[in-house]
Amino acid sequence: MSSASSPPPSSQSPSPSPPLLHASRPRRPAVEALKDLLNRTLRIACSDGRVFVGTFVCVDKQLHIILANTDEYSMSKPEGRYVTMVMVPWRLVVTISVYGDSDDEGKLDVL
Amino acid sequence: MELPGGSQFKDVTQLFQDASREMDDDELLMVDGFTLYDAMSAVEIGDPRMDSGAPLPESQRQPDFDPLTPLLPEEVCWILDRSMACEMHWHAGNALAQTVYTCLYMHHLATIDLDSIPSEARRRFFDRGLPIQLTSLVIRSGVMGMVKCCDLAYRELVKGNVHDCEDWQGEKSDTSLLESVTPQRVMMLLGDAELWLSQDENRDVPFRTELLHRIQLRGILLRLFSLEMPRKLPFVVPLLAEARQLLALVRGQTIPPPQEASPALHAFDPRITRRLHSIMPMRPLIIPPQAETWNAVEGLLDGWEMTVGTLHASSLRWKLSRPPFIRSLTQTIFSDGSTIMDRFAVSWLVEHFFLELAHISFGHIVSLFEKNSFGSPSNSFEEFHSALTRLIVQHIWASYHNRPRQRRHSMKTVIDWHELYDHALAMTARTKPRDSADSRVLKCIPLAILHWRAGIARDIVLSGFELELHAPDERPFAYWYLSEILQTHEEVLKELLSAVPEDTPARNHLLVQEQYVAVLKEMSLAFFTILTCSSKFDPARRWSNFVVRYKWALRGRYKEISTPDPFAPNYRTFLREEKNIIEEEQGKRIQKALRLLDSTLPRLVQLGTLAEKDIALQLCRAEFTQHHLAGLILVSENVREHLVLLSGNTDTSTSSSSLEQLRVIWDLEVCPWFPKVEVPSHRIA
Repeated sequence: MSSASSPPPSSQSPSPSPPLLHASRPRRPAVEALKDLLNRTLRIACSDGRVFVGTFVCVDKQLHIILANTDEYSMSKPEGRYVTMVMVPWRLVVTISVYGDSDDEGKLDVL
Repeated sequence: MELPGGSQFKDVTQLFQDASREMDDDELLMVDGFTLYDAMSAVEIGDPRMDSGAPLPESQRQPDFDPLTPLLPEEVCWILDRSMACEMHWHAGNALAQTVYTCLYMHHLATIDLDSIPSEARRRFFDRGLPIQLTSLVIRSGVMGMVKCCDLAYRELVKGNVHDCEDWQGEKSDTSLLESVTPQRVMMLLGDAELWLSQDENRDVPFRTELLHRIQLRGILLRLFSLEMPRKLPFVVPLLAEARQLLALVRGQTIPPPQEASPALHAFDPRITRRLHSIMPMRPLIIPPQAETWNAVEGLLDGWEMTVGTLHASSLRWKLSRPPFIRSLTQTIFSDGSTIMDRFAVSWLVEHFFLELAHISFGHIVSLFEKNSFGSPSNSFEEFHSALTRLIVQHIWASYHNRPRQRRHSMKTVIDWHELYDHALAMTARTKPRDSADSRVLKCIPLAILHWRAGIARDIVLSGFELELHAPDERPFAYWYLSEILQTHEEVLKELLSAVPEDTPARNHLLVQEQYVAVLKEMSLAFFTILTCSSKFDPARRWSNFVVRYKWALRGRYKEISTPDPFAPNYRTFLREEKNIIEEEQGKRIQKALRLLDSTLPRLVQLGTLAEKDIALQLCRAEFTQHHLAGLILVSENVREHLVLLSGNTDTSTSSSSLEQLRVIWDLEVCPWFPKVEVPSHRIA
């Protein structure tokens, strides 16, 4: 997973912060684990019955989750339809799951 | 519904919640290369404006569509008519998913194929005493014909003559437009339907004639769309005549709308987008009523006719209201890149340019610029000829673009025309005339180019009004600058007319142009006079706005050209004129504007008569006189009336603001270039 090893985007950390602040920042295991999920395939089941399957590309603190290359599955279209890029707000999310990859299962289990 | 992907997914819901608690308020986790700008283009799930797949409220839900539900003949008629309405609404620039795809039969063409209809479904038709062929033959061939027509139009539109997402919508949402089915195959199916409807044993089928006419009209339209242009051009006229005849019949037939419980109503789903692959969210559209649809079909036929007429005309012009398909088709017919109108070499355009504008034969021009006794033209003339050819071809191409694109093209090339004018002046100055005929030709060459360029500069300013680009504060300058352009144009035309022989088509054309330019000049001066008021912005701010708005006329490149630009805007002169107008008494201003309009109105009437002789208006004479000139007359009369009212009420105590009280009303349908005015009632009382 290339993104997992790449440095976080500049917007994630306040740019003028001195190194001391970085050093004193508390460990954030969940954020690190979530970064590992970037570029992976997520399946988000929504409260309105729809399921979105796409590549996880972005999330913010409020958990607005952006999926790219997404397919939407619903009762009216159980075979799915392509809906490009979507942003699923947390209020609609019932469950989120990631497409399995044996290399990463260990990491997820730790959490 | 079983979750897609099965058991290969592992739950991470809790991880997201935990991470959210750890994240900073403004923190974002993103993949490399992903930006906030990218994030903004995501469709927000749950937002009814963007999320086409959101579950619908009960009131908006449509029952499941069963394409094998038996239908009454009048319901079949209605479905065919509405599918035509969908098709025309696509031609009007809407998306396929909002129009054509809403006809659900097009997604079930295999289901309603007679060979694949199960016996149980056949029995339903039999039990109701309704012929299954109404669905399997009439609806199927009619809808297939509609879809195939769209496919053939799509092939024309995609050529690049008109622009996807600007003039038309090309998104297919991964849905077939019967690309792999030949038009001949669909014509055969339409033929089968026609045959079935014509058979004696079906004579008692209600609405048989109505159905027959609709299937025949679709057949003709399909044949028109499938003609290979411009090779098959001679076939257009007879097909158009047939189509018009059938359209008149269909228009005259009254089809009752389906009853409330009719299954025909379920044959169209405006929210089909929720089930299609989509790149962008689309709202459901209301498809226009049938009367408008028949008007649109007629418009399409008119467009075809105009396109055919183009080939036989001596000059080209365009009409804005033509659908993108016709504008694209006209460009295809106009040139395939190597010939003009499938008949002439590209240089034909230059020959006609001088013949139609100055009555000069191309042979005469060439003889003047021969560099040696073998008759080969000089390098300078070759360069001039090639630049002029390029500019004319580009100009005609741009004439079939949409209006904003056409305006941009003019703004880009207006300087190229000035360069060409400079070239023409230098080239003709170097050439020694052999006799008076030569002198005439040498005089006319640069003037013809200047005349053409004046028309382009005028059109740029006027299209600014048409496209509603000018803020109220900018309008006085635009009208003043327009009057300056037209003043110079008038002088150019006078010069040109003095060198063009009497009783020639070129002279008749220039006489119309002279009058037309005079009318527009007087009208623009009248509007400058009545609309000018003290600006709320300081001169520096106005100057910077002016530089941006008129950058096309102020380019630095003009300084590199030895001949000064006769149409260069002079901001200082404008400020002086503006000051004079503002300082003038309102009563005098009103009288000045009235004098201008009093002179305009008889000129407009005279112009209508003169236009009869102008061969360049051959294809659009009625439109020019009945629509364009009539609009100018209407606006002039309206403004004149209100100014007379104002002048009657003007006294020293109230006049100071009376003109500023005029309310400007733009009616683009009546006249896109000049507004009507209204005086608030309390000012008149």
